Amino acid sequence: MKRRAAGYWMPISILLMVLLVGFLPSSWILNFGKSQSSPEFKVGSKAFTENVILGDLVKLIAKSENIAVEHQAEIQGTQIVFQYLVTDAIDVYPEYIGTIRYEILKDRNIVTEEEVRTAMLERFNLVMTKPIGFENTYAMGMLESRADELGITKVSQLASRVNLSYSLGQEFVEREDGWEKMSATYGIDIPKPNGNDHALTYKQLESGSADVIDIYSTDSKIQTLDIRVLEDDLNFFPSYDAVFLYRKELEEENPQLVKLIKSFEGKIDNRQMINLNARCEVDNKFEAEVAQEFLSDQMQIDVEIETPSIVKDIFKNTVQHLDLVRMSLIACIIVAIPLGVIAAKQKLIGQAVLGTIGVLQTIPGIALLVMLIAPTEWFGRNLVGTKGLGASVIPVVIALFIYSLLPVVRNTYTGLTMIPGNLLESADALGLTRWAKLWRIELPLALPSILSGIKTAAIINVGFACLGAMIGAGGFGQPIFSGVRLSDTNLILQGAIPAAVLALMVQGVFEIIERILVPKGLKA
Amino acid sequence: MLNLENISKRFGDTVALHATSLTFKSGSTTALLGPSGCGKSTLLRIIMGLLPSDTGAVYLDNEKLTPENVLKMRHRMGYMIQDGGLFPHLTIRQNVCLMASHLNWELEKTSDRFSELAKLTHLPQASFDRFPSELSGGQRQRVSLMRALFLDPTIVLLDEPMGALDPLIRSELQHELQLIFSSLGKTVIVVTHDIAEAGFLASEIVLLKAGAIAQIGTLRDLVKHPSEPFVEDFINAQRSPLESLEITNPIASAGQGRAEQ
Repeated sequence: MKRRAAGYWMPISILLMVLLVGFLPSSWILNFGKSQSSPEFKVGSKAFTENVILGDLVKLIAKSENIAVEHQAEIQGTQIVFQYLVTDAIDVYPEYIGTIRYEILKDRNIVTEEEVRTAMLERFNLVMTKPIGFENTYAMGMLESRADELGITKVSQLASRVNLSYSLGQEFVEREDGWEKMSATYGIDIPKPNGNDHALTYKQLESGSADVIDIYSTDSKIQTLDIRVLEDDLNFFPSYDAVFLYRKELEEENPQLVKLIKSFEGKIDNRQMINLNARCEVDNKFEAEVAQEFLSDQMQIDVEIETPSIVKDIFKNTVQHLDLVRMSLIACIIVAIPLGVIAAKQKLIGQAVLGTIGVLQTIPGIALLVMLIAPTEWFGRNLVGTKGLGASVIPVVIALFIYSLLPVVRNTYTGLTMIPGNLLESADALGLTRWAKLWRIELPLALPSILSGIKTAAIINVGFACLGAMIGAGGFGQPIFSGVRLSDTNLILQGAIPAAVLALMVQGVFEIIERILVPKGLKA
Repeated sequence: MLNLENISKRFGDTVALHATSLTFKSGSTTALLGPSGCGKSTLLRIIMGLLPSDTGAVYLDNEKLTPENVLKMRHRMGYMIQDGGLFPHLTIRQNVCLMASHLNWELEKTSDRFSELAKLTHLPQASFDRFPSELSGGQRQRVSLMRALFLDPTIVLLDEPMGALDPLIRSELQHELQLIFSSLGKTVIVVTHDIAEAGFLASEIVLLKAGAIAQIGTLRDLVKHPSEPFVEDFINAQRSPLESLEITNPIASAGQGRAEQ
């Protein structure tokens, strides 16, 4: 056979193959050929200590009965975790009756616990358990010593003491059912205080520069700072009894698991919950350890837990983070380069494409994630046949993909439109077909610009992938968010340092790739 | 043989080319001459099918140029532009042999053709694997010519091929081009605004004025029997610098006189 120069379908197909294989999640690649044993059930929890402990309690009690339950911990915000539950991406999570009333049902006519329970079943087919036994509501708190000195035990007594100084959390000042309504109800007639960072309010209380602060009624600080929780004698604060919410279908799918979830009803009172929170936040125990202790001490159930190790955690976070970046970036390359080419070739479509991508860029991260959960879960169930896709890394990957489109599309577009006219004319004059001209002349000439777009997208993605932790997809954001929540600097650094190192490495890798791929003639 | 029948072109309200018919005989070298904006480059682009004409048609060896056959027809035309139009991301060899890999030639045939052309244009071997930015302007034009000749086209079109070169290199390359064209016996069309270059390279000159043919003939015809005052003006405007020094420039003569004192 006579030797011929290689055509261009070969390199294109090899490139696509590499990209497609590179797109697969690392868990698929590592487990290739092995049977998948993903847990059948999933418990979710919101991103604060108490909720994570409750999630771990469910996971561990199920484990004691050999039911495999995965715990997707620290999901940011009621909207996302609830979205997960109604799309069946998770099966159960701990919630508060007040939150259900105000943030989920949003119906003034639904007041009592029983009405809330009925509404949840009717509207969402979700079951609300009986209260777990503690209540995590807003309350007014004073140092025990100061309260004693002034003889204050009830919120109504604050009204006559106009010279007390207040330090209030940002959220409490801004909430509709927060300071303004409360001060009106109790007749506390002082100027509206400014909102502070909540961590700061405790410091001010401790130092004596504030007399009264707003607190959460199961806060570990109540124990450690010896805070008196003032009685809400006019019943202003709504009931925030903790409950579990689970999907109705779970009763048929695994009645035993439902029985175990219900076994927590009435089991944990405020004092106990404050104590559990303090074990984590003050004694620096992991939530799982605290949950294990509780099961063992209070319910005589012994379960083994994996001892967490920093190295293992960092490794796990790195794999997850790289997954997010890699999958989104590859999807972006496959989609954005052709989009950039189309944009450069068809002026009208080009403006539409660039405009749309620009608009997508402005959607806030968390909103985009929430919007993506339901369609992803639907897609997984109906077209792939897997459950829980909505609560997996996929929505995060899609969000990152959307955010990374702009630099790549724009740079592809710019790279192609900046090619000097005489070169394009030379290519035409040779009699190259449109495709050959694109592949042999235009794309190579635009390559430096395209690569720098991809590099920008990759570096942005490394940073944005920290968002993944908001919906429990892991990555370096996980220790960062946990660290902020627990005010644990070490934990924050465990995420922040590798993320920074990774960003630098990505930059380095792309500079090497540029050196290899960009022809010497274009570097001068 | 290349025939243009009734070709015209407008850009908006501006007429770039009035209806023009021209025949270029096989093996002849013709110069399209004229000032900027006279329509000479437009004509060349229409011949290549790079620009659609408003009326008329182009026939190459009696085959009509159509949007369907334009790619194949371009393989029978070699095209060389002012600064070479070489692709900066490809080496000299890759630039010249681009069409070979596009048309899936055997490697041996490709390599033979390249050597043959390098010999013809006197391109030094050391430059074969360099990139265009590493070559001098004159060498780049040699490479551009090699690329234009690669598929052994029946006609060769050159758009201001020497426009960006300094006078010494320009004259050297003009001599070589003349030799190459006479040895290959191809139909050659050169677009230029330099009357000396036109006269040196081409046996026939087509002088264009504002999108229409002012005169067709040899350099001698144009100089001795200008068809209209424009032809005379165009020729006078490009009188050789030495000539003007002696005859028409009293200031220059006076300066020279003082220098001799």
